[in-house]
Amino acid sequence: MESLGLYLIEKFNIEGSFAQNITLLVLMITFSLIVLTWFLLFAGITSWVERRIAGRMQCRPGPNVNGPEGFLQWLMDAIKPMEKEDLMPDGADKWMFKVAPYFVFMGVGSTLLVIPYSESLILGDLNIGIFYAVAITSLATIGILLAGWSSNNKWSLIGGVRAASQMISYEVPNSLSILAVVLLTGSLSMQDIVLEQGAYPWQWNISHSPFMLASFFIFFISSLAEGSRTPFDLPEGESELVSGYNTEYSGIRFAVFFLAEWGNLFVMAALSTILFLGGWASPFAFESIYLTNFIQVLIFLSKVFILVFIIIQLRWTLPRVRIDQLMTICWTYFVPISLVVVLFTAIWMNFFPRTDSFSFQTLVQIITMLMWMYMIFYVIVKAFKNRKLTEEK
Amino acid sequence: MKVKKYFSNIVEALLTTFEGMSITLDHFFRRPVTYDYYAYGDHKRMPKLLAKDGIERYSDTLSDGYRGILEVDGNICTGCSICEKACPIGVISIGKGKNEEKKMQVNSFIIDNSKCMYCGLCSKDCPTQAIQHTKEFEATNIRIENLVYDWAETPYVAYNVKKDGERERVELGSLVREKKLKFDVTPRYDFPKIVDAPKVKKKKLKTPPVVSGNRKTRIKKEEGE
Repeated sequence: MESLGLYLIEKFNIEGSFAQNITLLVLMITFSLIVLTWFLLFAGITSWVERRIAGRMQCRPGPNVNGPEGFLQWLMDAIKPMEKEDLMPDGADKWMFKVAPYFVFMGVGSTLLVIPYSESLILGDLNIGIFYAVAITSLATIGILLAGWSSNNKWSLIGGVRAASQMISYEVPNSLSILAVVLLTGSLSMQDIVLEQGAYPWQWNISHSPFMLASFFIFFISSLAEGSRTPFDLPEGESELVSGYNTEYSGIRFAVFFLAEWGNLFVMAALSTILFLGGWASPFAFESIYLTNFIQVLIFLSKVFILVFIIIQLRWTLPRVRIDQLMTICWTYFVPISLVVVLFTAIWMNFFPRTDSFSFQTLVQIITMLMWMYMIFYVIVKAFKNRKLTEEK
Repeated sequence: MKVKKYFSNIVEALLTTFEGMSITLDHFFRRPVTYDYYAYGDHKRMPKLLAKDGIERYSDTLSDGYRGILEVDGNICTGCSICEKACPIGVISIGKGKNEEKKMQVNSFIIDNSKCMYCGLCSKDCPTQAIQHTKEFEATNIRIENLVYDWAETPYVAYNVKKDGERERVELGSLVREKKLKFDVTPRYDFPKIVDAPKVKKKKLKTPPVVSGNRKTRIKKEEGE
């Protein structure tokens, strides 16, 4: 967007004039609306996709009545809360109660500003991009705490406080594993992080060294916990807290909470892709800039969708952890390991810098790539074995 | 030891997660085992889905031992009324008498399906398996009286095992299906027509005389008068 603005200003020669401000403002509004629409569409459709996948994993079809294969179910889910009454509990803190869901939505949605979809498709390439993303996601925590506090309900309050404690704890390993990536790149800008990685799997940050592989796992799992996805969805544990911080919400405000939750799926997957899986980097370069960008967007989105599938699969695989287990995982496993990762990555990159020609570092990269590929094949082969076993029975 | 446990925990967590993911991935690529049940919607699609597996009715997709609507085969009923005694809530009531040839005859065998709790005690004790639970489950009707099934509408002579020899039971569920068709006032899946309530002419109410002013001024007025 920035480059397009500069191009327009240069072409029409309006630098420094009033027209420059107007063009930039119009561009800002249109592009943010486009990205917001994409975000809402993604969140909506993912809600249907998730329910479909969940259905198939539990040997049932899932929603399949509205539209072809139930595709319009997500629209129905959006329309239904709109026509419902917007209730507010007696004794609630009115202003806070009304504002809380939008805080959560803003915290998740504002991250879209720095996510690069391709070489030139990015809303704003901030020089502190990833830092901004980490900082702005905390707004969601405030929103959840506000929702829990203002509802005048014990379940909501406990849910909100749980969410806050969980998110603050998991911020530490999350930020530390981002720090390892930033050490490798030497920059906080998202585009720089992507450009530093190559197009091929062994050039990605995840296979830089075994430490970075561990770092990826820590980042991925702790971002699950930050987005309060299963197995870390304690803030909304139905069995204990009815529905957690959103117990008292109804109507469109309730829908906004869930929109933020599914939108967060995209943010989680996109950040992991950019930081560790090479982002949009593609091995193909065409003469046409549009074709190049299109291929890059496709590569980026395919990576994101695979990660989203894995997140959804994890939700229907693992049971919910207890609150003490949650804290044990964070403070006795993730924090020490991520500290070790940061330390050893700093040492490693000094001794074995990245090279284009074949060297010890390239060998390590290929071995690490084989390690995480083996994990994927392990799961797939095991699935086939399970299938054969049940067929024999 | 503790250090060993620390690392073995990590490995175990990874391996068990992968194990679980392999199971969900396996099930993701399988065909769903359930059938869609279109009670109100697209019931044209229903027979197609079932026909794939060579099934005619929904009731056949249920597992064996499913306890649905009770069915009595008068052909092999001995009229012992064990089922009547076994029933804990008195769903079954049997009326017995003697016919012209002085043989025991069952005059009425009434089962109130609206009361039945499908416990299966009656069918368990039946010596000839005349009373049994079928797999039929769609008993919905617009009148609750239609749920009372009389299985001896034409009185039958009680079955004597020693004298009459073996008799075969009719296909399970076929009699219930006949009964249901008989009592279906409206065709299935169609809602009964809603008849508009007769219009009642509104009577003009006599409005009370309007008193102006609030309570205090009114009292003052009255006092003044």
